[in-house]
Amino acid sequence: MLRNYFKIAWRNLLKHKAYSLINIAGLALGAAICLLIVLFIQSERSVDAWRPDADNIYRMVVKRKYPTRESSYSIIPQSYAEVVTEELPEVEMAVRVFNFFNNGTLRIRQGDERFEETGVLLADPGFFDLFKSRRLFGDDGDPLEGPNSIVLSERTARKYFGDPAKAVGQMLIPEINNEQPLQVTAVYEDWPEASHFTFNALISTAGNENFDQENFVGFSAHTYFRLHQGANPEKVEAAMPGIIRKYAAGNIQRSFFMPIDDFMAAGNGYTYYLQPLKDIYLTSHLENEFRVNGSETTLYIFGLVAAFILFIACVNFINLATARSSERAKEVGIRKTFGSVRKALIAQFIAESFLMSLMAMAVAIGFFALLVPVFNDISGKDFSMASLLTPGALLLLVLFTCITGSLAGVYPAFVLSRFNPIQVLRGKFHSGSQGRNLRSGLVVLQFAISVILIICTLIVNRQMNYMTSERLGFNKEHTLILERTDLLGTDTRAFKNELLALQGVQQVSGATALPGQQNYFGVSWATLDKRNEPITGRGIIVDEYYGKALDLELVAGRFFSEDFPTDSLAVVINQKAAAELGLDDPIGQRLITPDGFLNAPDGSEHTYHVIGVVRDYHYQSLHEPITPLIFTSGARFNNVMQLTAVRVAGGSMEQVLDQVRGVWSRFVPEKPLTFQFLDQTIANQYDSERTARKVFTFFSLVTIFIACIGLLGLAAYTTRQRVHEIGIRKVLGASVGTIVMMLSRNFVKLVGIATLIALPVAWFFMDRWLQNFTYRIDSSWDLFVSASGIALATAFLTISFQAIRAAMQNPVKSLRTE
Amino acid sequence: MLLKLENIYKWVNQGGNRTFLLKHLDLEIDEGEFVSVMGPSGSGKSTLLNVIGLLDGFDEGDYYFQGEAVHQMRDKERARLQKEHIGFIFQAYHLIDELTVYENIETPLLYQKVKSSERKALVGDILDRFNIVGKKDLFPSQLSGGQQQLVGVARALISRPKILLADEPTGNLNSRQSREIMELFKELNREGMTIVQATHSEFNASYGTRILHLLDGSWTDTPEL
Ligand SMILES: Nc1ncnc2c1ncn2[C@@H]1O[C@H](COP(=O)(O)OP(=O)(O)O)[C@@H](O)[C@H]1O
Ligand SMILES: [Mg+2]
Repeated sequence: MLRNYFKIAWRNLLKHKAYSLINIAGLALGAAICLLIVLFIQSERSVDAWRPDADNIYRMVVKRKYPTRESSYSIIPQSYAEVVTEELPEVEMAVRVFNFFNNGTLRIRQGDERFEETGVLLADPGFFDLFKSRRLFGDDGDPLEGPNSIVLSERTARKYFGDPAKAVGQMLIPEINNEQPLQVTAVYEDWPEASHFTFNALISTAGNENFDQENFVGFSAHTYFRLHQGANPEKVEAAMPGIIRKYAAGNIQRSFFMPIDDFMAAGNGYTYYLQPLKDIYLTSHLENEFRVNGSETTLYIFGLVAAFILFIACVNFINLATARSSERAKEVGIRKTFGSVRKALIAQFIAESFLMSLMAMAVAIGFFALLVPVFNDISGKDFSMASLLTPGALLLLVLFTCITGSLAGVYPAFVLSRFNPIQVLRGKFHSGSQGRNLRSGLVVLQFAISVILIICTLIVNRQMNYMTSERLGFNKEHTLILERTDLLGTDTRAFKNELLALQGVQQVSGATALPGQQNYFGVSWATLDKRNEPITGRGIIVDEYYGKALDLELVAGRFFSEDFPTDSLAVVINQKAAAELGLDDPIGQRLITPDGFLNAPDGSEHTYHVIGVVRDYHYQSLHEPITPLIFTSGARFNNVMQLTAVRVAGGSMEQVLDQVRGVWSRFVPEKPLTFQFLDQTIANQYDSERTARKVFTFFSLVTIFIACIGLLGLAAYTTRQRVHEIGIRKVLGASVGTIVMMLSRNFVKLVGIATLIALPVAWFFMDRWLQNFTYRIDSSWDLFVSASGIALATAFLTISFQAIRAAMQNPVKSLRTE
Repeated sequence: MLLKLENIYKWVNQGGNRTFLLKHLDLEIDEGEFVSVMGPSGSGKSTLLNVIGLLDGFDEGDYYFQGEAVHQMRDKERARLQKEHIGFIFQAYHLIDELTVYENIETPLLYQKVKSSERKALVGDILDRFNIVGKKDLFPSQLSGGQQQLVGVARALISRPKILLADEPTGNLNSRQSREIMELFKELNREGMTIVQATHSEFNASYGTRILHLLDGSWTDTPEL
């Protein structure tokens, strides 16, 4: 019996090749994308969770309250690890990890070879006790116990020594400080990517007194605690205020010149809390994270989209099956006449639907292979066909087949099996109306979803364009940022002069930070009459040409100048700083700062005077509001700066870059030039939005495609059903145009309803998404109009393709078949 | 006696009016009879055959099949009765387009849960008898109308029914094909099969052992002129 069912199903499939293709392709595409998304979600959720002891490991982070704002940091003062372990019985051990060296980049010499090594971290002894990992080479015992020891990953060891087995005991020279040689004490297997941090080399903090110095206010250490089995992390958090009072009070007095109570009363504070290791990757987005973490919201969006896409694909399946029911009606009638019971018919149709979904899954695997590279590009993952061979993915495939098979089969099965055989065989049966409401509803739903995604895509796109083209308040074009120009030391001026002499170079300026970077330091400033009410803001040290290099607009006064020797104690501020300091006429006003490095080496206070006010510009990303910015002059340090901006005449970037390299190699022969482009740096601030843009574009293309596939099938079907009617109308004199209109009208109406439903939903979601940006576009109506237009046009094109074909047909032919 | 209808009424309500499809209808059929029901289009022939064949219900009256009171049966019993004892032949053949000749004939046996080996034998026999062994793997669309109806008859006979109901079996056929089917009916009847056919054609009706005339759902003695 079952064989009979499958036989019929198979022949039906071949007989209606176009429908089958549409049906299977749509379902397969949906399934392939769902598979990718589910794999993505699985992989994102498993980060760090696989670690032994993951349940007992926490990272301590801090919410720092300043008088006018709050910031949360993933790093905390370095002395807490020790005192918290001592004070609290819940804590079993602590390990600190430091991410110095400019995002882990360090130059390391091995013999005569020099390597630019990325991913170099510093860690306390005990690191490998807390984060268990497999040691490939090296003695038993803690490899970080001894001073000047370094642990390498297998990959790194191979890079330096060819054979990782030969690495242990060898020496490496880091180009920092006094170039104290480091001894390789162990080689570990490569740190898994599924972790919120990774490293290639780990240097021990042991014996380095910098890391033993008492510090309870400066944030520097990623601090991990392992609690005793079953210990309550909330107890640790609850104990922190007491520990702050006990240990940090003295440090606060020394650094901020006030007792801890006054400090708190002024609106300052520290809240320390613990993040479960497993949650860090998806939920922690603090300052100074090792790298950009994943996002739970993205997972939700992906999950939702996966459900949508699968749903739409199933809808197509159901739609086509019910639409075709009239063709199957005769078969049902005959079978009933010859003794089939309803149950048997239901079983038959479900079996058919399973066969279909089984084939769809096979095709889905093909689609998967095609889509993997695209998806990897979007998601930054590294999936391959092998990802399908995990038990989880296989189970998923089976589940997909069963769920889509039954979901898509059940409705048609019950409708079709209900047909009354006499009515059907008398030919008085108009099964076109069977499930018409359901079909219409489902078409509306899938187009509503498509329109929502189109709107999201358009809004994300427009916000991205806005962010990269918005008048940022400075010129970001044709500007090179040379890095590590502090290496020039006393040659700085000569170097800059040589650059300026190059053909095509317009401006050269040294600074500690450029727009789009994190290098601005936090500062507090106060006016003399309100010295106890300092404002906080960002600080930057620049030379005299910074304003010109970036085209900053001065609204009052002037920028730093070599003609004024007193400028070494001058500041330029932005409008926001002037406003927060309460200065109506800022020029000439006197300011002081408690920050040590801006005062005399002996600790005595400098008084600065304001010489200029620049118009507010977006020196940080558009996520952030513009905050007070205070420029100080680098003249005191002979303008030796980490960064040098080179403004180039349009179109000559290539030659200039070559020449700049030449100049650099004469001044700093031992190090290659590293640089960025300013516009690129600025664009990098919006990495996650760029991903969102790709994701939405991809998903909305896929959904509208699948929805159109479904519509195409449905239109083809209904059109064919009406061939007879069309024939009669043509005989009576209807034109092709009126017939196309007649056939399209209903579908276009449905898509119209869909857009009406979609608009408010899309508006709601995108309004919330836009709240992420301090500076954002309005979700204006023209976007909604264009999205609706796109959906309607696609739908109309899809349908009219069928309709025109039907309308052009010779009526005699269609009438003869009656 | 094979079956007996007593005072059967069947009606539909259309726009407040009650339209009678069958009205005060009596009918007795003995085993081995070949009854031809004649009447103009719309007179109720199909309705009557559907009632006899248990495809359709009726509103009033009694129906006994082999002495069993059909009007008191539950759906399940009626379905069993139909499956086992009644064979249908339609004007439009009503073969399943996606099945081959062989599979179409086999279908009723599947629903009666006949074992595979026995199915093979039964279908083989009938293909042989109707001389269509060579066509068993063809699909209905590959056959002429007469051949299709032959398959329809074979399918109706495969489950060895007590009675064959044929609703204008030759309505779509040319005269030569019609005659062949009628000859076949005659032969089947000679072998003992009870047949009821609905037809327009005097000639076809004359094959029957008894001819009845239907008009507006009731018997009439004077056939339409
Ligand atoms: N379910 C029904 N509802 C309304 N009218 C019906 C129904 N079934 C049959 N009829 C009507 O009953 C009459 C007899 O139909 P039918 O038995 O098909 O006649 P015949 O087969 O003799 O041509 C016709 O007028 C037909 O339209
Ligand atoms: Mg009829």
